[in-house]
Amino acid sequence: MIRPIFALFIRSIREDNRAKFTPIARAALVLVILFFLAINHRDFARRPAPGLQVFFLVMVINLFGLVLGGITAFCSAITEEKEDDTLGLLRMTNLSPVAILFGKGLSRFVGGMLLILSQIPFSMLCVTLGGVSGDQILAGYAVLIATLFFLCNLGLLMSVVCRKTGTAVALTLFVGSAIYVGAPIAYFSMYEFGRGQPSGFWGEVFGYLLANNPLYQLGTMIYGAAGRGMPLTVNPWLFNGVAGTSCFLLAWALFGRFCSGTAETAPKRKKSAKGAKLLRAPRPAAWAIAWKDFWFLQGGRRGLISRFIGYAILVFGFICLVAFNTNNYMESDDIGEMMMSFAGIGLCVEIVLGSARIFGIERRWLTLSSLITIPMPLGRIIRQKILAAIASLTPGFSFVILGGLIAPESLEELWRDITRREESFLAFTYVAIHLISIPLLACWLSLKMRRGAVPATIAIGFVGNVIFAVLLNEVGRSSDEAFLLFGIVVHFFLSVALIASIRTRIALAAAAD
Amino acid sequence: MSDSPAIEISGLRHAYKSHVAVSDVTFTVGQKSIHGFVGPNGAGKTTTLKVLATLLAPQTGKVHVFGQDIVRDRNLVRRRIGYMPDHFSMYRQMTVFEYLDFFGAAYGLNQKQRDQTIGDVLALTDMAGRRNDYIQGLSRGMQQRVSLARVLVHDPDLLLLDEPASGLDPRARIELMEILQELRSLGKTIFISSHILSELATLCDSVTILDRGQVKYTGAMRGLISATEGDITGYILTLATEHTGLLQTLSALPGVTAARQMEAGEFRYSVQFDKTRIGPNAVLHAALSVEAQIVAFQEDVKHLNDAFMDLTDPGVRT
Repeated sequence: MIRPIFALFIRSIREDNRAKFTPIARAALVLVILFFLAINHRDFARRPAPGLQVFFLVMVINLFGLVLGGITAFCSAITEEKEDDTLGLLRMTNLSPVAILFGKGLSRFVGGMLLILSQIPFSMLCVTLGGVSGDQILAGYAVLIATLFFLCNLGLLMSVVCRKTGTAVALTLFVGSAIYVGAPIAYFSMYEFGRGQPSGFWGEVFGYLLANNPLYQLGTMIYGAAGRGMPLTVNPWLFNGVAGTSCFLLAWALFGRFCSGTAETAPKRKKSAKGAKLLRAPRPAAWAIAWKDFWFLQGGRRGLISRFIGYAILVFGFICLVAFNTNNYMESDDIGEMMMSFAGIGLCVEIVLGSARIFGIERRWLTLSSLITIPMPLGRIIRQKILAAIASLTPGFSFVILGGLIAPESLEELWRDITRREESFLAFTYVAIHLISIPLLACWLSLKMRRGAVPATIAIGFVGNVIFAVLLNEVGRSSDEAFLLFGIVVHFFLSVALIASIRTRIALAAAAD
Repeated sequence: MSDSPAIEISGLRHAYKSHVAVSDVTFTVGQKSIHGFVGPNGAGKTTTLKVLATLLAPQTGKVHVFGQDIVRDRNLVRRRIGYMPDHFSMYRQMTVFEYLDFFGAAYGLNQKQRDQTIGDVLALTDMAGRRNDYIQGLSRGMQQRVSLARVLVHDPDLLLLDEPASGLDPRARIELMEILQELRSLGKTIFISSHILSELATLCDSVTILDRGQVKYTGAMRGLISATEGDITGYILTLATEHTGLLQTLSALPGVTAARQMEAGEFRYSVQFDKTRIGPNAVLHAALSVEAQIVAFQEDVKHLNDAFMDLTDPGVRT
């Protein structure tokens, strides 16, 4: 009985042990902690409680990494078997549904937990910097592991319900965002409108979810208890434990319904309603590859509408949150600036995600060889794919432009600043060149690795910038202009090298299909 | 169309780091023929096909398709070839029609041409009734047909098919072979890599056997499976009942070099003769003259399996 349950788990642990990525990821996380310690050690005498600040930053990075990298891993637990058509083979063995779920889910949870636990000895060094106690550090990691437990089981549930990893990731992000972002927004909105502590059923629910928000809990545990230490709390375990276990049980209950067999014959395309016809792809024309990418990779008009709605929720949600929290009357300029900022951030995220998908998805679908043998220059294929990706960014750009139209003075001021002040010009160029080099890096990595190109890009970009800052500081060239100029030059050459390499990478990836 | 061979490979060598996939591969394939490309796993078949499909550049050697260099004239070559890899390489969220329409447009066909061609290739592959079905829901055999339809949509002169019959049930395999024969009759050159030797033997005009990266045989299929050596050829005579004097009669014929019963207890006789001195009709006439009850008289040919086993080394390539 026990043997089959652990069979998949042991297999996954063995695979994880053999994988090159595991030790690299653990070492990278430890390096990040050590870098922060090194940077803050220099300011030890000048800043209050540097250990506390470092630890909070490390926690936030972990949480970010958990959401970014973890969700993809959790959501692929069952969908990867569905996509590879191997779920049927697993079900033919002696493995029961609970053994499959347990084996596939537990290995991912343990992998994530080991990644988190390996940092504890190094995080303990924060105690020597001052401002944080050992108990607080343990409590912080307890919050992370409890959140990991919930997200892992939520991902597993979505992985059972959905056919594709992408859909499972989207659903998990949606539910996760509703709990971790939506609930606090709702709570603060009720607080503002009600001019006081929210009450009633929904007030209680949103208040409970806010209290179990990992970021809120970390903030309370670390900053709220500074100086007097904080014992290990059971709160994160209660909510995440119950929610995670419920997700697992639900996944078990739904396993038979969603994971039995595959359709033998193709579903006929339904006759579309009049309105739905507008959402259907027209016949391809001259720019066939751009057509294919726009309609079948970026989601076509349906995808555009979804993104418009997503941006509207993101932008207006955050504006409301800021407005309610600051309790100030907002001018149209403030709204326009915030719209540009929030939509700009969303756009940056979308650009990185989109860059990793441009060729990454063709690689995953094994369609690169068919695409490359189309008799047209590779440059034209790349241009058409980029064009489709840019078209899918229309909603994000629209919100940025709308923000600019609402706050034209802010744009004029920014323009004056950039054109008149050398430092502003360099800062603008530094950000702009990141928008070229980082997407190129994501695209390059997606041709090198089948999964995880986006988290790897963000990690490399982040660690690279930290190392760069430390090195520059060490050699004594700490002026902002020198830092920015050097950064621009580095990113320029990186971009050139990546552009030169991507063409070769595409050809190699197509040949390796 | 020029008179150049459809495929002309000379001295091809390709290595992946220290592993030499193919070495000194040289062969030609004539136009409007079906050429089988066989070899054990890891022999270098897929590497050679990828070179022909312009996905890999030859590290040494020359490769020409219809007289055009695959490196220098890459786009011209791509226009004339249709490559079907050994895996499903499809946009599975599209319908069959959308998939073919996309490739037609990417190859520069206008809408009218696409409508015509897609209708033709769907009819040829017997998928016309499934044109509006999603690819992801089709069975393996049907997806293979859609793959073949995609390869044909721009009307290429040369089809490069890597294991097109793998994973198909016997009926689907036979139907695929029929489609390929029909394509040959339409003037296409077909270069097919396969492990199913029995079907290749009847389908192909010529064959290349590759083992451990080297060509072991290239030429006409008949040359490979025929038992003929020089002027000496062999025939098999099958009787309904035993005939005691037959072997003496046949051995006494001028030009017959050997005549023997193939297996004790069976009424099958092997006759070898010099074809410059005596023909098969004379041998048959001699057998009839002694009133042997003949059931069959046929040329002694080796099975392709036997030829394959004779030419390739045992064991897995390391």
